[in-house]
Amino acid sequence: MSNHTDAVRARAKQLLESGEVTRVIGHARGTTPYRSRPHFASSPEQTDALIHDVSCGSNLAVYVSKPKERVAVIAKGCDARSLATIIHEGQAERGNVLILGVSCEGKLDEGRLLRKLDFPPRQVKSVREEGDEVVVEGPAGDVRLPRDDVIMVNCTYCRARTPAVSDELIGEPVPPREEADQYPDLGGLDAMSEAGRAEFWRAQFEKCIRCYACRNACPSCFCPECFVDEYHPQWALHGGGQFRGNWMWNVGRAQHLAGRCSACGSCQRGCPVDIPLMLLNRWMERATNQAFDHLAGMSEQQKQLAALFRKSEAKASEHG
Amino acid sequence: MDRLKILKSRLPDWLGKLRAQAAVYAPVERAGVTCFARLAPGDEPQLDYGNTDTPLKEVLFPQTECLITWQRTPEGLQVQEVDTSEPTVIFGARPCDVTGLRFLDRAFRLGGIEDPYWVRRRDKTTVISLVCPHPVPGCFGPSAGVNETSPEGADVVLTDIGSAYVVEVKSEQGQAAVDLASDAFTSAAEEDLIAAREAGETLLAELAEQAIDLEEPEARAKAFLQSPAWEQVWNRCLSCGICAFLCPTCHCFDICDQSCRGGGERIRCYDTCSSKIYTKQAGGHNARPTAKERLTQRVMHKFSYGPERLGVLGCVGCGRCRRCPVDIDLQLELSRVEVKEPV
Ligand code: SF4
Ligand code: SF4
Ligand code: SF4
Ligand code: SF4
Ligand code: SF4
Repeated sequence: MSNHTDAVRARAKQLLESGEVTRVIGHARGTTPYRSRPHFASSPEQTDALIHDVSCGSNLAVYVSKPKERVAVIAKGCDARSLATIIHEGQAERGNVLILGVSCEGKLDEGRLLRKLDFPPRQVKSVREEGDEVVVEGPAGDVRLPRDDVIMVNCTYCRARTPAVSDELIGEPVPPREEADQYPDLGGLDAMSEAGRAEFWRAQFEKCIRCYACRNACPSCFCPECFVDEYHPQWALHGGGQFRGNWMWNVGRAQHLAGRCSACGSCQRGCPVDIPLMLLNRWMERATNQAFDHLAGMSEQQKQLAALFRKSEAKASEHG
Repeated sequence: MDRLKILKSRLPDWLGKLRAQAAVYAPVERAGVTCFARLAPGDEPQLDYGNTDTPLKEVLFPQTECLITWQRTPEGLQVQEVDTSEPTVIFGARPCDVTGLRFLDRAFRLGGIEDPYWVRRRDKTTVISLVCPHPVPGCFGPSAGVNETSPEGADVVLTDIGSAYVVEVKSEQGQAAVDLASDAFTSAAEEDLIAAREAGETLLAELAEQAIDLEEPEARAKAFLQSPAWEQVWNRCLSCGICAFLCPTCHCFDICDQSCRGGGERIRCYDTCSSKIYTKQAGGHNARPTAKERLTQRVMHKFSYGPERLGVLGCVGCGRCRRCPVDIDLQLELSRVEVKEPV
């Protein structure tokens, strides 16, 4: 069960009343019962709108950008991984971020959820969790769905269901998923020939409209000038709907996230043309994890992938 | 004008005739998303769709297009203007997207200055619209002034009545498109017309459940920008391009020269007022430094400048911008503000 709304509200209110933080970054109810939206509470009254349930998927670390005063972030495991990463990379002083960890058993994938319903989305009255099920209240009563069928696929392989880095924890600790050290989601790609994989990604990247929601939703994409926005030199052809530039963009983005991705899924969730970006991110994660024993944001002490050198790196060449 | 009808089984005949005369763009599925794409021989359009994920505008205003090319030669620089316009038929477009063309028609001809790339294509295009069988989730076309059963800007309108479509011909261009396959059409019987009317009534009743109040858009826009909800909205905006690139009426573009080995091309591609670099000037000054200024432009362009300068709302209620990754729904926000009487 991961409805932590009451605990989140109460703690957020205390923090603002006592002046320990100037702002609490959390989620509020969105336009539908299966959607949340980022919410910023700067006064005790504004904490009344905070919620934390199965719909609160988006990574809130994206709103932490060199805060001058102390802010609190309601952080699932992946948000906490992102916070640890960007703090390490100089995007915030550790003392200016209060990581209010929440335990998490996975957050909704809107597309997966709606495809399971045989009534129009506007008829969804409420969504809640019960045990290992997500219960959707529809026009003809409750529809019970196994949680794993409606959460983001990356959540079903999560190693950080309890935040590895946090100042406090709301909810009972949850163990990592048993599959966490494996990559069954990459099985489909693994089974393809190299040419088959190239064809798969060509069809996906051709759809890209270059909206950069994947970048802008990502806490690790904080460059003041992204390579793709540069004209001198021009790294990637501008404009969507054309393969060459799209390929350069999507591959460039994934590579820049190698060893810096928290597997939160915000990029894929944002993508308006359903490009399975998590397959790409997980592919990079597997490569860097196997070659360098490195996973982003799993501790405060760990070094960045690019700043790391170990003898064991010799084995990297085996992985191309 | 007499209403016609065409059996669904005769549709391929009509499409074949159209394709012999023009490039036919229709909804198709590509790697899980639907969009308008050019039908190749043998391609079947996918007509049982909700709405395309990407908007119709990309047929006439592509995401990226080449404007001119150049080549350095011993004789000097050779510059070539690019004109890829050709006779085109848009087949099966939803009424909201068709209505969206009206906004673009006005914007691309504003003040008597024509955008040649748009105008050349538009003038050669026949639009065959397909009435929605059921509302697309999130659509509020009627609230945004869309005629759902006979949209403005369509040359032909088709209404699904089961085994056939009832056909309304709305213009000479539309008549010409129908005449290409006249033996595929029959005159619609009284019961066909009743079925079409009932389909339209059912649709409008279902759409009423999704209606929102967008009366007095200019006053609403201004009231919203003063409301407490506004602060949360711009604070969470990620400044991406989804709401503009998916919108059937947004038309901002960037122009850029891409050269390589003595030759090159000038392209234009979609741009958006939400982007951080949209107003960034040489030297680094940015007139709209935060999402607050940027989103203000979006609100004002759609709901105030649009009605003021082009005479139509900059929104046709397709609901695509509800793909916003942080659940910003400007239309819903506007519909909820209290519009005060001017003092
Ligand atoms: S790349 Fe995607 S999954 Fe990884 S941290 Fe960024 S938004 Fe999250
Ligand atoms: S979110 Fe999707 S469509 Fe937008 S730039 Fe990223 S990959 Fe392309
Ligand atoms: S503003 Fe949104 S709902 Fe309105 S036409 Fe544009 S994408 Fe559709
Ligand atoms: S709303 Fe913004 S992106 Fe859309 S047309 Fe207006 S200025 Fe351009
Ligand atoms: S309103 Fe939403 S879709 Fe539009 S730019 Fe902001 S985050 Fe992107």
